[in-house]
Amino acid sequence: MLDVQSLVKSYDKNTIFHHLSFKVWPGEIIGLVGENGAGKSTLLRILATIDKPDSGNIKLFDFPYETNRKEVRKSIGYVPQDIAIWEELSVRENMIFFEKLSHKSKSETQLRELCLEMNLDKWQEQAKTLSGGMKRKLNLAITLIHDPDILLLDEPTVGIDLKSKIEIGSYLLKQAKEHNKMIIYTSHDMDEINELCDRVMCIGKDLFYENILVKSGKEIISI
Amino acid sequence: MMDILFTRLLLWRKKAISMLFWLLLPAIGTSLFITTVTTIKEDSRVPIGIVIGDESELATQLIDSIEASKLVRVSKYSEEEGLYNLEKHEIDSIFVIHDGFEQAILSGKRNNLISSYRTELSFAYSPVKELIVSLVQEESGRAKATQFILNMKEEYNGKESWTWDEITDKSKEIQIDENLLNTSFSYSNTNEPVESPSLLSWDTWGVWAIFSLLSALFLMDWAIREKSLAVTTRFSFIKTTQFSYYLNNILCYLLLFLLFDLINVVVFTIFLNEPLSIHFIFVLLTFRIMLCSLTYCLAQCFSKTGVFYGFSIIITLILVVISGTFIPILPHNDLIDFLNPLQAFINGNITILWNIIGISILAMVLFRKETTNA
Ligand SMILES: Nc1ncnc2c1ncn2[C@@H]1O[C@H](COP(=O)(O)OP(=O)(O)O)[C@@H](O)[C@H]1O
Ligand SMILES: [Mg+2]
Repeated sequence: MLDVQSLVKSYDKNTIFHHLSFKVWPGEIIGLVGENGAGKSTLLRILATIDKPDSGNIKLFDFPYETNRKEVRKSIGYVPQDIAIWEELSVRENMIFFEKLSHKSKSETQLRELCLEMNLDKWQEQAKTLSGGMKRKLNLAITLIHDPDILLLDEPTVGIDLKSKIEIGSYLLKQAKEHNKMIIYTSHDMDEINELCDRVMCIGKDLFYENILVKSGKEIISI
Repeated sequence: MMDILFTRLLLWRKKAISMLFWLLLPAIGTSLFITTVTTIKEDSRVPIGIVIGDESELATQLIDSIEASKLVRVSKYSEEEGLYNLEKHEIDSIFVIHDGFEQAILSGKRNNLISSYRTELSFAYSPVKELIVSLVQEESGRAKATQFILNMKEEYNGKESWTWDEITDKSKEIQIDENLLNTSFSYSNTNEPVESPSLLSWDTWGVWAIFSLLSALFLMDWAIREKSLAVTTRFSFIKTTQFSYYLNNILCYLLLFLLFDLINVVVFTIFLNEPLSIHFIFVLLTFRIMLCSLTYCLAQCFSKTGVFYGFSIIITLILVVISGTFIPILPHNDLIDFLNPLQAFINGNITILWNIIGISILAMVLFRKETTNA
């Protein structure tokens, strides 16, 4: 379980979170929505341990972030907003590269299966020649090499074709429901959010997203 | 380490050609430079003719020392042949060693040992004459000293017995040690001194050091390119610390460089007849470690590779000038030598100071990377 308590974060005078608290249970998919600049990426980076809050406590399976950063990181799968792959390497080489550096070792067959599960079948192709959808899939696949318990995905489906979007979506759903993972992800696609998420968190002062979600009857995490 | 080496190999494979170019640059660049310079030096020697009228030991020795001088290129002729070539300006001047040369020297005569021919176009006549006169003086002086010692020994009936050769050798040894006769000559029409020391063994490695610096700088560009990539966020979630990740990557580069340095050593030892010793291996090793740490730290100061490449070229040129390995432009200056990271290596010493500096900065850079990205 992820337990966030009283999180405060501001850049200079620009307060982004003011005592934000929420909990996420295994098997849940949480959607994060809000206009650009609302602070979605900032929240994900804090949850991924690569940014620090001004104050507040975060615990993952009862391990506090403050004192157990190294342990916590082993359970985190973070997909940054910018595609984080080696453009000049092939899909295969990208997977092998990060497997070598990963906490868990996997065979090449296992790595390949991981890619195939989300329909990433271009094993030998160079990453830079992949389509946008394929790149996003590879970006996600690399994050899953070490079997993280919590997935933090920053716009994993932005700017890609509908088919890839649906494939990634159903893959995430399977990860949550069959493998009991916690997933927090951001998206601007409200249909996708409605389809996949158990609960939604609206970040920012604009009530635009909240109003849409109220209409659709989604459970909203009040902050 | 093995895992990181493996990941590094994956990346190296993608730019193998350009990497190979930069890795081979020091060996190829140095070899080309040395052979070119040697050819030019050979061409710029003054062609002279020598007519041998005396077959004695001393005359032969004199000719050997003339030939060994970097100023002239010697051809041996009969007197007519020589004069014919002189008239055609094939040679600058002719020197005739007369019969009885040894005899005359041993008996202390100094006149008419050698005569010379020249034309109005013999521009290099005076320095060549000066060279030969000084060689004759050197030789006659030595011969007389030897004779004197032998006579003295006979007089006092000393117990130790030296042969003529032993005494001559000893006196030559002293001369080399003391460098007494290492004079430089000037052509009458230029002010440039004609270098008398040859391409010493350190010149090869000195030139190599410059090429190595340039190649190390250009090969370290990965430190800039990879720093701005989104993949670096992933390094927060790998099994090693970032400190160890980057340190191991630098070690991978060090290993690669050392592999090619080994090839260099073999090439230079075999083809350029460079002497090799255990001490030199340490000199090379410390030099390479210093290059790796300093170039990496330097690369960390840049965010654009283009700017870094430009800076690398400027740095290299500055060090060319202050090291004086290609051309000795600047006068020798202790402070500059002290500040020049290549100097220890060029002088054939183990690089200590700049390794302490380089490794300390490297540790700081890596530690800062670890904490800011944590
Ligand atoms: N490193 C930073 N320094 C200063 N301000 C920042 C920094 N990172 C983000 N911000 C500001 O924080 C706000 C939230 O940014 P972000 O989390 O990227 O928003 P979102 O992902 O929702 O579009 C923005 O106003 C942005 O300008
Ligand atoms: Mg964002």
